[in-house]
Amino acid sequence: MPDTPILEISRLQEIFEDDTAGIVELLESAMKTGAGYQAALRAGLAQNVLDDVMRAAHAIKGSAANVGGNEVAVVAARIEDAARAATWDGIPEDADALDAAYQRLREAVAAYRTEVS
Amino acid sequence: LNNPAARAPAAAFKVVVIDDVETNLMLFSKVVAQLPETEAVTFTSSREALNWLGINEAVLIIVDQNMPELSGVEFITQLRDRGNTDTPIVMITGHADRELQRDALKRGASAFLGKPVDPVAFISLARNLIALRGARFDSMAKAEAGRSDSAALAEAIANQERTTLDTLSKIIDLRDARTGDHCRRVGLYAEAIAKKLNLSMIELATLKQASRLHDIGKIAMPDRLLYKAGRLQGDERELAKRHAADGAKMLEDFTSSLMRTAAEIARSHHERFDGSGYPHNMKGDAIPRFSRIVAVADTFSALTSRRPWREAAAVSIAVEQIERESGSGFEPRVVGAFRDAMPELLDIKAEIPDN
Repeated sequence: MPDTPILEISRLQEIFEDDTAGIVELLESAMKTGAGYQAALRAGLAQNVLDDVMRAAHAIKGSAANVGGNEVAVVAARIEDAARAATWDGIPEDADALDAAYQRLREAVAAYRTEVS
Repeated sequence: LNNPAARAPAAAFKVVVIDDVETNLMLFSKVVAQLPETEAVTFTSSREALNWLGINEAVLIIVDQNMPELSGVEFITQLRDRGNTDTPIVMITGHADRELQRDALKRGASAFLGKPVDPVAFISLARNLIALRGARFDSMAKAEAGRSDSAALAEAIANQERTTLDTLSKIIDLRDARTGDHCRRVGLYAEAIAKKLNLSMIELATLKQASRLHDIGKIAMPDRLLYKAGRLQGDERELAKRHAADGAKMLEDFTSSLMRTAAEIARSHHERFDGSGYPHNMKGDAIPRFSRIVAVADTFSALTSRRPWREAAAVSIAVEQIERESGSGFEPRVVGAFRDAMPELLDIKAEIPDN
């Protein structure tokens, strides 16, 4: 996803200004919360419960977008849209893409933490 | 954030933020902190937020639509149902659902923001909503203060009027105690008769008070007339008749409704229904309504009181005379009311005896 940044830190800097510790705290909280939603989405997928998949994807989309995790948000939005349309088409593939995007986001967060500490 | 409410600072305007995602609460807290004198009180549970808002004041509420306990719309509905109609509410919606937004507006939402929330848009919206709420409260407070001032002023004027009227009554009493007692009786008689004519409570109170001054003009009468032990003769009678016009003149500069009514009664309580009275030979309905009532009350009080040159007439004699003059001296309807009010009139007579 070359056009979608993994972590758009400028958005958080606009809110937190010089409070880099606050940004790190928020990002780590988002990663922890995200892990819970990821697990919920995977459970929905395993049990073929489209509603659970839709709710988890919706929560991931919102929380990731709020912290500048744009790539994760975009993939989650695709899964949510498919689930809303009551189709499984593309959802398993996008679930994998979501895991990969989350991994990249975690690495970007770790890099940022190192950068500011 | 495990106990979000406990993180609320003590002294600041509170913005309540409700979102089941703690990351979002952290983010909103930071954004809310950019508003002047404002801090966030955060809740992951909408029910806890409802309870908190039941006993605390917030200047703004931010609520996410998608929550497990109560949705944003359900939260807004319950809050407004509990009587909170003033606090502006911004609902955060993850997707632009027009139907949902229309429903939320109907339930009492003030504005919407989409996710991810743009902090600049949020600050701008929050400032405007908080300022609007403040302006509304200021306006309500001013209106309330205005109402209080008006009520206090009206009360002060009413008190002053009562004091003026009591003072004038005392002057009548000190000048001639007999006239003073008569004036008090006439006030009560007039009220009792007027009750039978179904006058309003305000009219009854005005009549009762204002008619106490109907003979105030007598304080300007020369001593030789006022205290004369015998019946007035010729020119004396003509001179005594001036008390009606003199009384009106004494009261004419007052501007209140009560005192203007008192002046009117003083001037016209000796007018007769057939136009043969004084000072202006007014006739029928041209005579002020209150004066037509006072005329009967005044005559009944005068006839049933002792004078140095005669004994007090029996009540039956007084009633007979007044009834005889129904249509000539007095308005027939008032005479009918006078007859109906006789039990009350007798009570008043016993209460203020003729000394």
